[in-house]
Amino acid sequence: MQNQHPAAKFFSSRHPISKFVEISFLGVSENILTASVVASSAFVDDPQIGRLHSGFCTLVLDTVMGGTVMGEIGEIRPIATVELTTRHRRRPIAGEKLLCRSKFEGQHNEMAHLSSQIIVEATGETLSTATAVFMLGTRAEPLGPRV
Amino acid sequence: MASSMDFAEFAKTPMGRWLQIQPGIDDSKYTARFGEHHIGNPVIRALHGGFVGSLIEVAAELELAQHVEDKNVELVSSSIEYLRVTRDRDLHAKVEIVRIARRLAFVDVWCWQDEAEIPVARGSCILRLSDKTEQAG
Repeated sequence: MQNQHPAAKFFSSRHPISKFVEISFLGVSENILTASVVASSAFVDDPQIGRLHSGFCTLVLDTVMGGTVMGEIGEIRPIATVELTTRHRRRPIAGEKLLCRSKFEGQHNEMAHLSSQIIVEATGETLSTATAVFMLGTRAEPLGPRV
Repeated sequence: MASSMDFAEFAKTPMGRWLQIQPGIDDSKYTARFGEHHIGNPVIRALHGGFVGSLIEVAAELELAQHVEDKNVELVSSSIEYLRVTRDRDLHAKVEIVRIARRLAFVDVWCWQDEAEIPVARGSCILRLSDKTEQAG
């Protein structure tokens, strides 16, 4: 717990969205953060086949990219999404095990640039991709240093 | 939603309940009632960017579905700009259909909280249209 990665803390059960989406930090390698998530039935919009709405992927991509930013800057610090573009292919089915990979592309003038994708863990099929820009620092104080 | 689901039907789905979506008031078309699970930044109690994005995607689909009743609509991409800091209160969305082509549609969505003239986010969405007989992916 003492050396927990900021992204792992960010994805923890304390975050309000974790009531409906459980995101687990798996690791970081070569600027790419990987997290696992199960397609939650709370986001189903086609109950007949258990298919989730694309908004689930949008939520996960934004969250994981936010966690990636915190991992790069080494602390859980207020950040804000400035721009988010998502492209959706197939919608996940409730219960599908997914991986979200997020790459920190770079930072310039307090702006962090990221790209990410959601794939099916078992097959590697890409479901959604995204790019985003985050602004580092908002009006609030940092939540704490990386420990 | 691949099928042209109407608002009342969508509002009953788990996704509709997660959003806490309601018909909009005033000139708003859709309103997501605030819930704690919509918070993205607990320190300043701002809404989650993914939640805002979700409402934009849902609003684009629901509105377009009303214009193409014989088609399935499915969101292909959304590009969202976060114009202002959001707060822990309801989020409203209104939709502008930019163009409906044979197989694609282009839709803009504006979100606000306090006043429609002070938007907090805008989204540009591309949606695929398909015949209702076609299996959605």
